[in-house]
Amino acid sequence: MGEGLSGLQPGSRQDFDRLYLETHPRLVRTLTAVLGDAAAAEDCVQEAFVRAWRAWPRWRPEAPVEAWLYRIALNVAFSHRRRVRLRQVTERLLRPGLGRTDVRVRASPLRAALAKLPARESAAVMLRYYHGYSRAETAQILGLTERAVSLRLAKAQQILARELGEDWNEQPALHPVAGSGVTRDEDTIG
Amino acid sequence: MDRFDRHLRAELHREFDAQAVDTPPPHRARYGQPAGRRPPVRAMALVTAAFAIGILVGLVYEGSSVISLGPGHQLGAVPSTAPPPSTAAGSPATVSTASPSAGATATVRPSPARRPSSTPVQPPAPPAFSDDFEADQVGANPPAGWRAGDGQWTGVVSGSGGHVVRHGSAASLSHLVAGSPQWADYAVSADVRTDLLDLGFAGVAGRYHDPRNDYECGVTVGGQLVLWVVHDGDREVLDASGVSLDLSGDHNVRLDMRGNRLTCALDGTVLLHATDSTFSAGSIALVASAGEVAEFDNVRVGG
Repeated sequence: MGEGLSGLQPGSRQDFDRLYLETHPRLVRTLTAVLGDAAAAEDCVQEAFVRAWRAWPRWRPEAPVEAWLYRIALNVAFSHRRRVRLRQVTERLLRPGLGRTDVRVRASPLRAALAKLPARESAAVMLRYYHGYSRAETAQILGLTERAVSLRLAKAQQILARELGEDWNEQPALHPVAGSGVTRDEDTIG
Repeated sequence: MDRFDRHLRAELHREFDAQAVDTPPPHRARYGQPAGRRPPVRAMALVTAAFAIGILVGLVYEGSSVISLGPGHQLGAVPSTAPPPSTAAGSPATVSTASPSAGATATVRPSPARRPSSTPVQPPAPPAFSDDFEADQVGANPPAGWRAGDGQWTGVVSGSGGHVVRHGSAASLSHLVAGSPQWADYAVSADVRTDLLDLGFAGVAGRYHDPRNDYECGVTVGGQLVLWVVHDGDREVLDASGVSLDLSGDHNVRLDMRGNRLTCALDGTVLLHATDSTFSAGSIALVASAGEVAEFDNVRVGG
């Protein structure tokens, strides 16, 4: 996890800049999947870096830095998503018929399906299948046990299969799996 | 690894690898300045705000000498607009805003040539304050930058979305206080977890003087939003929502005070309005009634 980010010193501006450059795009993509909204994802990643920068002098080098950063960013995203949904519920209660629906413009079927997952499930999917973290690393980032990660991934797989259709995985992949950071172990969920 | 997994990996890469991400260079990334040891940004913002006011005063004062005012000119006669370029160049003042959603965090490098002055020429800046308690250790009581006005608080605990500050069931009516008694017109908001409420209420307070004198906006177990003025211990309802609300989970409660106009919002929707002149300034507080377990997070104060 974070092989290219060794030797970081807590409190170092230069090292934090390195961390930022290395992880910012990955965080934005992960949070886009969790939130279903690229602009909100960029805002949340921005907020996450503000929080991380404040805590940077207290980061312990023995803690995996990328897991630490993902955890902060996902907590920001989970809070954001909870607030948005509560606001929508309140608006619908107060003004029936006027509450904003959850509109996503030109979302692909996969993005739309990811957006229907609970936040932690979509985060687990992105960490495990997009970034290629091992189950143990995913568990560490999400603050879960490996067993809990497996259960969440299994649940996510069920929902995705339902949303995308049973024959979705029969379609040919349009792009080969990128090599960077993708684990090649053959473990299965559950 | 089954076929679905492989296909999912491939499709995720196809979908998200193509997503353009604008990563500004570090010098433009707005993550601000490190906080170092506690107290972090809160105290830093207050100190730097004081610096900012001092710099403005100093610049005006310096400006008066640079532009060679005649002997009859007074400091107050100098226009309070931006100083001339030559003065600004000699007095570097860099102000960066961390994040709009994190509140204004001004960081200012004071001019070495700044002259001390005790004459305020600018109105006080709107308060800027935020705390998500993530930098506090679990068990911190009170959290850094806060003080218990009355009652007892459990302190910082680890909630589902990170650190929160908790008011325990054994405590009486309690106020956890922060900010300045000089704050006048501002809004204070906090995420309040209400599903633990039993019989009372939890919310935020503004223009807080002491536990018996302030404005309070809170959600009640009856599923209502209520705005009170508490004067010498007497609690008077200024306005209350007539709508029952789903109180499960967290709700954002916001109290806004502008002159004698008060509003109270729940999750971004203003529900309550009142006019009252009892208090014109005061600190902020988190408030929970006796015996209520309530948790608070993401406290923000803005102008």
